[in-house]
Amino acid sequence: MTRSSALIGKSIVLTGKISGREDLIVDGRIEGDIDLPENCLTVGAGGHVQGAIRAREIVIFGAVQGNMEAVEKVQIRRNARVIGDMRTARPVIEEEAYFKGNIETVRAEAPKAPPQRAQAAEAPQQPTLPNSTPSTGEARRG
Amino acid sequence: MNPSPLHASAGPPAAGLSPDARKSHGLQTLVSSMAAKANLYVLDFGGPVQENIDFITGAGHKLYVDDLLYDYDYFFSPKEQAERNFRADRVEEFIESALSFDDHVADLILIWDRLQYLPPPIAEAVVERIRRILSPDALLLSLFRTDSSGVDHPPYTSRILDSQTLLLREQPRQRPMETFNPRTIHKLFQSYGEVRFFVSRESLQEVLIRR
Repeated sequence: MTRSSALIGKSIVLTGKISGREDLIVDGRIEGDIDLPENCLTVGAGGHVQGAIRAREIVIFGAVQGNMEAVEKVQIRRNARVIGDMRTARPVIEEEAYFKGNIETVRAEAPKAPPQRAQAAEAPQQPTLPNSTPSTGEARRG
Repeated sequence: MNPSPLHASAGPPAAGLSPDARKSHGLQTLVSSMAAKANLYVLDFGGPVQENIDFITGAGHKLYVDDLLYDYDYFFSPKEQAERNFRADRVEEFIESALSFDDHVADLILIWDRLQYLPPPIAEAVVERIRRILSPDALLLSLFRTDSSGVDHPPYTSRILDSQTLLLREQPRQRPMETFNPRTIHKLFQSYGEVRFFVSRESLQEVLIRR
């Protein structure tokens, strides 16, 4: 089975939030957050994203300025330029990529069972990042 | 195809291969200090290196990655770099942009050989800011080439292969290098609590500094 991906082409400039349930390739410029919790986001070599990204997997060949969260993997490929914090099960940064930010690994999420009691929804959460560390994606400049 | 770094560290390198992998007593001491601790905040200013990311995050720590030389190149104009004339306000601005951390936030800092490639006023300002960033008694690992030949060498990419082995490979790009000896290294870190030297080969000094 082949999976099709949505494409934001080279000449497209988009401002605003993107969310969806299909893979997305960005070759243009996006200023806004991207939310694809079950899918893969690829930022092409000419692509640029300025905003927070949440996806199952994130692959970057181009430029990203913003924090990234991926349940499975974040791959920053050769010659990519990324400024922002990442939180993922598997961070991968190739030689000659530029990255500046925090890296925090998290376990890949197991399928969730339905809560048994109302209290289950209040189970301890993943520890949050200390407030004292800089949030590179938003506060730092590139 | 090059042999894997782990093979290079396992024994004498095969003929014709650069003996890049080396035992590092500085790293060994540093890793020992991290033992049985979790959720430390480690800052690596040598740029992103996959082995280092895996080693540190794999031990359950949070890692911040940046390359101070890239920051320097990006921040200062070619004219400033060529003339090596840095106004105090520009240095302060650089420090704020590259090292904007709260005080005492870092449990450990890896700066590798980066200080040797920063002009003295910048390196001194970086060292002073890092002292503020480090938590009390936290450690900083630094490398200095102390040969007196006057020949510049490119910066290293420093890879942690295991808790006591480093693989140092010279980067392709040559840069001007500041000269250091144990006395000038001591002077650079005079505001710190302790400076320990570990002898390494090829006139490379591993220096472990306690805040």
